[in-house]
Order: sequence, then structure tokens, then C-alpha cells
Amino acid sequence: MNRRRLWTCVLVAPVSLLIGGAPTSGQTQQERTEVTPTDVFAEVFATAHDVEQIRFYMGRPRNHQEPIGVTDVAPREVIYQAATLCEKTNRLGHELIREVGEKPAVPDKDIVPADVLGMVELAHGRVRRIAQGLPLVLTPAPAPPAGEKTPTDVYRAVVQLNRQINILLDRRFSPSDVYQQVSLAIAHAANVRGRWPGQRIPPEPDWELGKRPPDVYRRLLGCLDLIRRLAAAENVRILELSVSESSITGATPSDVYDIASLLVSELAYVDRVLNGSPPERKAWYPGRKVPSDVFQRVGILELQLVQIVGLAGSENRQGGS
Amino acid sequence: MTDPVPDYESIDWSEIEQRFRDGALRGKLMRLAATLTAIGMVLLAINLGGLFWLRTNVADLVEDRVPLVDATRRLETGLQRALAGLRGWVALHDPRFREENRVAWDQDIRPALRDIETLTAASAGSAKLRAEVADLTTKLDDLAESQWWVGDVAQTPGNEPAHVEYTLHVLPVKQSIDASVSEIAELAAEGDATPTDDASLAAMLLFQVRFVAADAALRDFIEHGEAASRFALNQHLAQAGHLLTVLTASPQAWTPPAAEHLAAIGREFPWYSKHARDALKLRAAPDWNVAQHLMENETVPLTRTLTAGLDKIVEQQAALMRADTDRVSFAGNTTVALSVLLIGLMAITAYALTNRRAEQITRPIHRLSQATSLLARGELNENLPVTTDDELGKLTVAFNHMRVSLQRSETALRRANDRMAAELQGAASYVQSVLPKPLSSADGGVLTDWTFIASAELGGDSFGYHWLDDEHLAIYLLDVCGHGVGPAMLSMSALNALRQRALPDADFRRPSEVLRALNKAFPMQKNQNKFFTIWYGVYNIVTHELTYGCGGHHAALLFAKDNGDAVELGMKSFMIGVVDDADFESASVTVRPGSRLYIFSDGLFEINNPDKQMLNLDGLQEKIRQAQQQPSERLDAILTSVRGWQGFDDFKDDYSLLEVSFS
Repeated sequence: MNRRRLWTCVLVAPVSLLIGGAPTSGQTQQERTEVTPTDVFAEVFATAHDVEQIRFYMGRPRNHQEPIGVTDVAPREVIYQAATLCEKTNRLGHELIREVGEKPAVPDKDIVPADVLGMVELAHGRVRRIAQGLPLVLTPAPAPPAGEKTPTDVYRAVVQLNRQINILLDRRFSPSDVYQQVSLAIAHAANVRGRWPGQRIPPEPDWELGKRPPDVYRRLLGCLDLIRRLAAAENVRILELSVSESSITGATPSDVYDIASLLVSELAYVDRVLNGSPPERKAWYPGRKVPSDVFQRVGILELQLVQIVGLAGSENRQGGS
Repeated sequence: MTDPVPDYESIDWSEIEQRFRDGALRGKLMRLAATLTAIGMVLLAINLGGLFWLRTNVADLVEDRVPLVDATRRLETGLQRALAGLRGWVALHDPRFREENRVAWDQDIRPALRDIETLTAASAGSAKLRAEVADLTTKLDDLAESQWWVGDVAQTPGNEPAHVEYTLHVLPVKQSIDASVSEIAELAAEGDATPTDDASLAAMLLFQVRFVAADAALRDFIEHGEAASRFALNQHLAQAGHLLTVLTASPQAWTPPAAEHLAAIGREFPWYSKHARDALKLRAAPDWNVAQHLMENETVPLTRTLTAGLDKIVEQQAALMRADTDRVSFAGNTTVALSVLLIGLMAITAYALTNRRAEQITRPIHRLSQATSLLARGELNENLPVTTDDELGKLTVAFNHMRVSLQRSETALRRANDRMAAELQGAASYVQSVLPKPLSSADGGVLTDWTFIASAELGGDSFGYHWLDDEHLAIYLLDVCGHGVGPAMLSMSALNALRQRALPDADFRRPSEVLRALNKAFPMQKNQNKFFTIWYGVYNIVTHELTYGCGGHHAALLFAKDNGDAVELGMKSFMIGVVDDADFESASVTVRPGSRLYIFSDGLFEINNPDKQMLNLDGLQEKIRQAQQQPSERLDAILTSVRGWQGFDDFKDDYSLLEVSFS
């Protein structure tokens, strides 16, 4: 099965890259439902193998960070990390071979492993193009670890892969990239906030000097907790995240980006469940940003979420009474 | 109602108290007042209803419509202000414009929206308006969010994606190409770039020129979007590409290091071209300026939609205001007309009710008043009908009872008066009977005549004369104070005492002694506080001397024969019986023959004519003097003259006039 999927990917990915569409667009419904997290994990594993060869070629250090402490992950949460993977491979592709792929778009539907697989395959194809352009002859990937894999395993693997690719980048993921993710989260939050009358985006809090990525990370975790409360009120399940204090204090902009990406995925899902349609907003390149800028922007999101949780709570109480 | 008291002779007042309720009249008056008040209150309530209607319409106009229009206008102004601020921010990047946008939202739009929501929530019957305002609120939230995104992206590099494309994708490639070109140039400077072919170096130089020009054209197009720049870019890229093709076609013309750099340029240039064209597309796209594009395609249309919606609300409110104004005008006129009508109605109703009730209440009173007048004149011989069961009915019963009682008393009084009159008449007759007979000329040359008319109530006058001896004639007239039998009896007693000479220790020829004796015999303390006056004289027919004294009596008048002048024979003294041990004097006068002495009571001159003028003593003296001209019947003439003065025949006091003629 894995080998068959691997060949499929080898054939499909370049074609998908050329036509610029979603790699799953040609799949039948049956094929889509047959894809399992284990299949996705195998593809991530293979991608990581190829990235490792590029790392070795480039002489860059290996990522030694502990896997992120998440549980109960769903495919919809994995696909955002896979989209990040595509972003990073895009950036790496430009830095190494000047080739830039299309910006990955998360489909607006219920995400299944096949969708995640398509996104990972897209990233894998770009990795191969990079290797080809260097030029670097890739060795085939070994068989992935045996056993069934869950979306949580896939999530952790994708995050680790993202961290590794970030090390390979000359222009690493920075507060500016986090800023864009937070802006996307604000757009989703505004969409959710639009269920009730009133100002959807509150005034930004004061800018505070000297904030560092861990401060932003901590504030984003607070936001995630608010989203969890909102999701609980709306009977929506989201993943469980357990982050050690050392992980927070040692957080890099890339880690902050990952957690911001996770936040966007969760908010997007809540938004989709509650509103049905995503916001027609994009995150624009904001230029150079420092953690204090991002911290301030997360403050806006935090205020939005506090309002939303309060409003949803009031609505539920009124509905209950 | 039937007369509740058939027999007014014997009324059972306890039954009357039961049958006629106290407070019934008050109750009627209170019912009248209450009825008028109730009618007034009903009319007032109707009027208040009209005023409330008017107030409601005015309130709609003043409290809802006008403030709503005002708030809507403020909101519209705020929208324009916010949009202007946003445009300034997008176009000029001046933070003051963004602040202006924020202020417009905080000070104009949101307060105005709150006012509109409050006003529409408060106004009844405007569900459609509330729905419109709810839609307006949602659109305003959309607009606020849209403006937030426009403002947020406006000053970021991402606002112009072509810039981002150039910075992130084009520039690194350009820098790489520049670096390679620089390396070749350095090699050339060292003479290590190409062994023989200077033309290649020239072509390389030309490539660099074209490449730099292409990049400049690209940046210029990204900056200004002018077609000329785009054209120039394409031209320069084509020429640079052609030159590069020529250069890379003969690698043997270059030294290995230079050839390696040339190959790198050959690999990078297509990517430069690709990313440059990507940047061109982004710059040429409609959303090359994201903020501007968002604003024109989202913010401005939303603002227009909102403005149109607000204009619609304003127009609706203006129409409602006109309708309200018409209603207020109509309500005002109607209320005034209603007020006038109600006032008139109230006046008519009050007059009718009051008149009817007043008629009911005053009719018995009027009847009582008329009956009282009749009763006063003694012409009421029938009982009044009792028509009410209130205090007036009770008063009528009492009046009837009083009438019966009065008639009974009057009858009794009349009988008593008749009896008394008869008694007085008898007393008067008695007094007249005891008066002396006139003296004739044979009686010592003294003639007497007198007139006595008792008053209706019988005064206390009496007089007399009698011979004390052969020479002395006593003449006297007394007047007891008061009227009635009592004074008459005292007068008779005193008269008897003088006639019978029953005064101890008194020489009746000496007037002073007689008066003293009378004063002692008839003290007022023993005679029911009655006293009297007296003129007492003694005439000596030998000496023609008249000795006289007065006990509080006025003077007598002595007329001589030859002239009409009279001599007043009087003096100041106490009245008899008033002061114990009072002393009395006497005086004497010689009487010439032919003289006439007149002694009289105050009943002759203390009388008033119709003009309330008293005759007094001088007037009487004049009347007596005039009568002196007549040879006879002088007393009748005096009586006639006095009666003429007072205008009627009867006298209030006894009329006593004694004439003594001396020959």
C-alpha cells in the first residue's frame, strides 16, 4: 500500500504542480476515503527523508526540538501544518532554485486524510524539485515505521518537518510571518464575532516594548484556551495541546508560527461550523515586524475571543433559560 | 309628598326628627356638586385624552422623528468623515487621517447609531424601521471591519503585492545576477575573464546595461504603473535575453571562472524574467493596491449602500414628520375645538343642573319667604304644603307650627289688648271723672276750663283745683312718668293727697311745703321707681297774688289781658320722688285782672311734626298766644293747632291743658 501510494505521489505530484490545482482533484471519492493517516504519515516520512538529504547537502544543522505535545488531533488541524509545510518548501525552493509554487489553499470542506495527503504530496513534490535543481540525486526513502498512525502522529511529524525546513531557510519564518497568521486568525474571529452586532475588531491594545517570541507564544496559548472554551460552548471538538514551560521559553518564531497556524486552523473550523463560509480576507505581507508588534496583534485577537466567548455564553444562557 | 303633620296643634317632634332626615339638604347640595364635578371630570378626561393625543403626536415628532433624523444625518456625516479619513490614510500615509477615521467612528458613527437604536427601540409600531436599523447595524459592522482591513493593509508592504514580489522574489535573483556580473567584471579587470574576445566583454557590458535598465523599468512600472515602463521592461528583457543567449552560446570565449559566472547568470536570468513578469502582472492587476482596491470595491460600495439606506430612513422619517406635523396640527385644532365645545357643554350642563336643583331647593324657601310676609301681615291662614323630606320640609313643618302658634298667640294677644284697652279706657274715664268741674264766674272771679285727652296707653297726667279756704284757690297739674295703669294710679293717689289735703305737716297755701310733703310721701323707691312732675300754685283772690312752685315741671304761662306776652311761671327744681329731702322753693306773682293762666303737661309740646321737628315750649306758647285772640273756645283752637302740628289726632302722651282765667 505504501509503495503504491509512493508511486502515485511520484506520478501525480509533478502533474499537480504543473496544473497548479489541488492534487486530490483527480482522485475518486473511493480513493479519498481509502487514504488513512498511516498513508499520510508515510508521505511525511518520505518527505522528511528527502529534506534530510537536502539538509546534508546544504550542511545545515539538524532539528533537535522535542515533538510538540498534542493529542486528539483531527485531519483539519493537520492540513494547516501541511499548508505551512508547503509555504516553507516554497520559500526554500525560491532560495535554492528560484522556483516558487502556488500558494497552497486549504479546501473549504470537511478535511479528510486524503486532503492532508494531497497537501503533503504538494510539499514533497517541491522538495523533489529543489533537489533536482540543486542538483541532488535523492536516495529512495526507507520504509516508514510500522504500525497504524493517527492524525496526531502525522501532526507531530509535520511540525517536526516544518522545524527542520525552517533551519534550512536563509529567510526563516519570522515575526512577520506570525503576524500574517495572526491577521488571518483575526479575520476568522471577526467572522465569528459577526454573529452578534457590534464592533468586530476592537481597538488594538497598547504596544509594549521588548516582547519576545515566548511572550507571543504564551499569549497565543491563552487565545487557544479561549477558542477551546468557545468550541466547548458550541459542542465543537478541538485538539489538546500540552506545552511545557521549557518549550514556551525556548520558542522560536517558527514555533510561534506553528502555534499561530494551529490557532488559525481551529478558528477556521469553528468559523466554518458556526458561519458556514470563510472570511474573504487575506493576510498581507506586513514587512519587518518585531515580537512586540505580533504581541500587540495577538492582543486584538485575544480581545475578540474574550468578547465572543462572553457573547456565546450569554446566548447559551438565554437559550437555556 | 302628603302633609306629614295633619295636626300642627300637637306635633310629635321626635316623629318629625325621624321623618325628616338631617343632612338631606346638604346631601342634595353635595350630590349636585358631585354630579357637576363628575361631569366636569368626564369632560376634563375627554379633554385630557385630546391633549394626550396631541402630546403623543408631538412627542413622536419631537422625541422620535427629529432626533432620529438628526442622528441619521450625524451618522451619514460620520460615514463621510470616516471615509475621507481612510482615503487620506491610504493616499497620503498620514497618521492624522487614520486618527480622523477613528474619531469619526468613536464620536460620530457609533454614538449616532446608539441614538438611532435607542430611538427606534423606544418608538412603537416601527417594526419595519427596527428591521432596517438592524440591517443598518450589520452593514455598519461590515463597514467598520472593511475599513479596519483597509487601514491595516494600507501602510504595509503587502499593500502593493508587486512590491512584495519584487522584494522577495525578484530582488534576490537580481542581486545574484549583479554579483555574477560583478565577478566577471572583476575578472575582466584583472584580464582573466576572456583570453581574446573583447567583443564578448562588450556584449557582457551591454547585457549589464540592458539588465540594469530592465530592472529600473520594472521598478518604475511597479512604482507608477506607466505603460511606457512596461514596454521598456519587455524591450530591455528581450534584448538582455538575446545578449545572454549570444554570450552563453560560446563558452569557450571565457575563462573557466568567468564561464562559471556566466552560467550562473544564464540560470538566474530566466527566473528574473519570470518573477519580473509576475511582478508586472501583479502591478497591472486591478488590486495592485490592495487597500485602494478594497476601498473601492468593498468599503465605498458599503458606504454607498449605507448612505442610501440612511437616506431612505431620512426620507421615511421626513414623510412621517410631515404626517406627524399634519396630525399635530389636526390634533391641536381638534383639541382646541373640543376644549371650547366641552367648556360650552360644561357651562350649559352646570347651568341646567344647578338651575334645576336651585329651583328645587329655593322653591320651598321662596314659598316660605312669601308665607312669612303673609304671616307678618297676618294674612296667612293656611299651612304650607310639605313637599320635601329634608331640612326644608322640616322647616316648613316648623313654619306651619309657628304659624299656628302665632295665630293662637295673636288671638290671645288681641283679646288681652282688647281687655287692656278696655281697662285703660276705664282708667282714662276714671281719671276724667275725677277731674274737677270747671269753675264758674261765681267762684271768686276765677274761671277754669280744661282739655284732657288720655293717650292710648294712658299717661299719668292729672290736674285739679280746689278752694283751700275762702281766699285761696289751689291749682295744680302733675305728670307721672311712664304710661299705663300704674302711673295713672300714682297720679290719682297724688291727686287725692292734694284734694284731701292728706299730706302731713304741709300748709297747702305754701307750694314749697306741699312739694316737700309730696316728695316725702311719694318716693320712687316705693312706687316701682316711678316719679312725677307737678306745677302747684295758690291764688289769693283778695290780694290777686299767685304763689307757685314746681316739682320738676315746666313753667306755666300767664297771659295778661292787654298784651299777648306771656310770663313763664316756673323754676328749676327736682322731680317729685327722685331725691330724698329735696328742697323746693316757691315764687309769687301778682295777677292782673283779665289774665289767663295756662298749665299743661309735656304731651302738648313734646310732639313732632311729620318732618321730625319738635313743637317745644316756645312753639306751644305761640299757639296759646294766638288763641288768646279768640273770645271763646280757645282750648279747642289750641287743640286743633297742636293736632295740626303733629298731623294726626291721637297723642302719644296724655294731653292735659288747664286754663285759669282771672277776672
